[in-house]
Amino acid sequence: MDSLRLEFEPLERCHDRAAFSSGAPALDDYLKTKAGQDVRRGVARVFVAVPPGKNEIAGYYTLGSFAITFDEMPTDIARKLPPYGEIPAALIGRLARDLRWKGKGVGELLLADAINRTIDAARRLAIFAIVVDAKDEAAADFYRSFGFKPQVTRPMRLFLPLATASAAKRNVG
Amino acid sequence: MGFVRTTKLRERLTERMELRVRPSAKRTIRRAMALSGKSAADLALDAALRVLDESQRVRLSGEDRKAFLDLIARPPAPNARLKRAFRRHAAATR
Repeated sequence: MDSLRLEFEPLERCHDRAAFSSGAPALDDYLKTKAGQDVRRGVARVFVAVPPGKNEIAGYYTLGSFAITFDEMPTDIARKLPPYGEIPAALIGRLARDLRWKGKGVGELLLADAINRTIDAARRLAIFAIVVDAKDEAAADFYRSFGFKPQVTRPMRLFLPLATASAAKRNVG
Repeated sequence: MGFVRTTKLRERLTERMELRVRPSAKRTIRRAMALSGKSAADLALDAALRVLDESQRVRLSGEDRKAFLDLIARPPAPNARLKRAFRRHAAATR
């Protein structure tokens, strides 16, 4: 498992989308029919994991910008927030690995790459949190196991403070 | 000030868009038009913008707001699994 080598790169035409099968039709269809369009329109960025030098997609994830806003903000808290009372964040909207790669820990590598890319982006642009939308209970469990905290009234949406992610990255050195 | 963005002027004035709806939906839309004074096109655009907006932001209140602000104010230390994921990622992409 630890000899696994993967490259993470933006989705391109050369990547073999047709063969991709995660077992979740909605995630497969997105990659095959909508991902390219979203990239062209600038709605989301799509990144794929490929074995070095190949165009087989072992997994993919999407990254987009996101903002958290609040109702009736008490002024003492409002003063500590960025202007406009909005907290800028990054959204991992979708994340899927191919069934052929099951059991190799590709999911956690995709997540680490998405978080890594967000940390890099946060050097140029304030980002305070990473937001994920889990598609089912198993996905929510997956994110919780890395320290993501569910939104109280909507537990399928989870948050990870960027400070927590950055500390994990510093740990690697 | 004094400079006004003119991108809108370059857009074609209007384009046609037809849609078929059930009679009951048409009645609902007509009621909403009467109530709001907006055209069907304005109502459709409002709804479209709301969908786009919700996919890129969330408004938190009550306990959601409190839990989130606490989380950001006091970020927890990364757990073992997150640290391991970063180590594995560094090794896999070396």
